Amino acid sequence: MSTRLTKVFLVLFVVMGLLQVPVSWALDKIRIGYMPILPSAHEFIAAEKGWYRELGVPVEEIRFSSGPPIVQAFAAGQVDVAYFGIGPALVSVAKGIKAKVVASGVTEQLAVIAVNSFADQYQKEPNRKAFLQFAKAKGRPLKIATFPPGSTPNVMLRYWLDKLHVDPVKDVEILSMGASGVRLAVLSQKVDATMILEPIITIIRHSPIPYRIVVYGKQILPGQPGSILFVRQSIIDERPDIVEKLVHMHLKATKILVEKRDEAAGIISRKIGPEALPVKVARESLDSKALHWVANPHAIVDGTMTYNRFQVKLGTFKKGVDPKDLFDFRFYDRVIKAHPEYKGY
Amino acid sequence: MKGNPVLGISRLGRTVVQCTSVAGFLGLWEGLVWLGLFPPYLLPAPTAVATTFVDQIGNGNIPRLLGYSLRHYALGLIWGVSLGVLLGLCMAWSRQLELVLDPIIALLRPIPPLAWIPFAIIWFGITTQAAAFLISLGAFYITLYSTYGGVKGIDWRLVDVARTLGDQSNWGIIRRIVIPAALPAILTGIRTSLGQGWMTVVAAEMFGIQGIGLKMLEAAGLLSMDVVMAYMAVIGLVYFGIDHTFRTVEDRLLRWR
Repeated sequence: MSTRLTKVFLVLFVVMGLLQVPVSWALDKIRIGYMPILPSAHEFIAAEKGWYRELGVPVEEIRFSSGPPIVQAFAAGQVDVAYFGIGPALVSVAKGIKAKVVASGVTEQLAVIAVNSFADQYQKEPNRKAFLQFAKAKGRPLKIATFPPGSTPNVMLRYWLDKLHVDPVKDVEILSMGASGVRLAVLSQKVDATMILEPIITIIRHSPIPYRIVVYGKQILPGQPGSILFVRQSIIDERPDIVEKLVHMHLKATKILVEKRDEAAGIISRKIGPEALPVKVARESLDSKALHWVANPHAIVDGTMTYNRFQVKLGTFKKGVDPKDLFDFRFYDRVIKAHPEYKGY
Repeated sequence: MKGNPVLGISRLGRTVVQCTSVAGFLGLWEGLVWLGLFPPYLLPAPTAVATTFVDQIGNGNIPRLLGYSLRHYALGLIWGVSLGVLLGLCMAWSRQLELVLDPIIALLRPIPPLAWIPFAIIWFGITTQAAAFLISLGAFYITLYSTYGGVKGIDWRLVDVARTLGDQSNWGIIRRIVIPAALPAILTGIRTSLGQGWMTVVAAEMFGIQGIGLKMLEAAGLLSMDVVMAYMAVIGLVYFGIDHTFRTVEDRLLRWR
C-alpha cells in the first residue's frame, strides 16, 4: 500500500472515530419511527393534527414493519424517537444505546389467535397436551407466526409457551416476520396460529377464516407492558423542552384514543391505509379487549422487569437492564402536574 | 506509481505480504474496537466474531441453519436451471415457440424475484418450496437466456452435416450436436445462477423461513452484530466452496475443447 493511501485510510478511521464522540449540536430534524399498527396510534394522531409544528423543528416520519428494524435504525442514528414495544427498547438499552422510555403507550395489547381445531382443543385442555394433540392429528407441529425475536409479541409468545411447558423448538414451529407478513400468512391460512396485536386481531376476526382468539395478553402476563415512547438521550439532554412537548402530545392523543374513538378511527385508517384497514374495522379494533391505553410509565415498571428477567432467561442478553437506565419519568410527571386533566392515563 | 515492488518478489514473499496485510487489517480493526471508538453494535471485534462463529458451530446452529439454506438453494437451482435450460433450448430450436414465449418472458423478466414474496407465501406458505421458488426465478432467467444465446450461436453447419450424414431425429441432433456445442454458454449461465441464487437465499428467507438469512435478520434486530458477521463469514466461505467446486466440474466437462 502506498504511504499516501495509508494516510487516507488513517484519516478516514480517525474521522469515523470522531463521529462517535458526542459533540454539542443543533437539532435540525427529528426522525420518528413507527409501525402500521394500533400501538403507534399516538403518532398518527399527532401527525394528522399537525401538533408536530409546535416542536419547532421539522419532523420526519419513518414507517417500519416490526420493532427490531427500528432498533437497528436507532443504533445507526437514523431514528431519534420511536413508537415501538418494550421488548426492542430493552434490547436497545441492554446493547448500550443511550435512550429512555418517557411514556407508556398501550399495555396487554396482544392476543393469540388460532385455527378453530386448535382453539377447541386448547379450550378443553389449556396446557401442553393441546399442542401435542394438534401435532399428532396434523403430523406436524402447530405453526405460529409472530414478529421477529426481540419484538414484544415474540417474547410474549415464548413467555406463554414457557408457562405452559411447551418446547418452543420441538412442540411448535415459530415463524417470525413483519406485520404485513403475519397478516398475509394468517389470512391465507398458511399458519395455524399467531401472537399478534391490533388492528390485525380485528382484521382476522372480520375475515371468514375459521380462526379465533385463544388467549389475551392480560391472561398471559397481567399488566404486560406493550408499546412505549422511546427518545434518544442526546435529545433528552439537549432539548428537554421538545421531549416534554412530545409527552404532552402523547397524552393528548391518549385522551382522543379513549374518548373520541370515531375520530381516532378515521385518522388510524387513513394512516395505515383505508384499503388495508377500513374505518369500520379501525373503529371496532379500538374497542378491542386487547387494548389498554396506559400512558403512565410508572405503571409498567414491574411488568417490564418481569419481562426483562424472561429475556435474560431466553439468552437475549446476559444481564438485566436497570430501570434507572431505561425509564425517565420526569417528563410525564411534569406534564401531569401542569395538566391535571390527563391524570389517570 | 513507479513499479510495483510486490510484483518483483518471490511467491513466498508475496504470500508473506498478503498474510501480513490480512493480519494487519484484522489487528487494526480489533484495535479500533478495543480503543472503544465504536460500540460493539456498530462494529464487533474480529475476536468476538471468531468466538461467536465457533460457538454457533458448537451449539449446532450453523450446521442446522446452513442445512436449511442449502436445501432452499439446491431445490431452487434445480427448478430454475432445469426449466431454464429446457425452455432456452426449445425456444432456440423452434421459431414458433420463440415467437409465442418471447413476449411473455420479456414481460415477466424485469420483475425482481423478491417482488414475488407475497405470491410465494400465498402459493407455498412459509415453506422450503416458497424460498426455493424465489431462488429459482433468478436462476431460471439467467440459464434461459444463456442457453438460448448459446444454442443460437452454435455453428449451424454442424447440424447440416449431421443431417446429411443421416441423423434425422431432432432429439439426436440436439443431444449429439447442439448441447455439446452450446455447453460452454449453458455452463456460464449455470455458474452465474449459482452466484445469483446464493445471494437470493439470504433475502428469500427474510420473510420467516428458517435459514441463515433469517438468522442474520433476527440477530440484527437484537443488535447482536457479532452473530450477523459470523453468518456473513459462513455465506462467503460456503460460496467460495461452491464456486470452486463448480469450476472444477466445468473444467472437466469442457476438457474436450
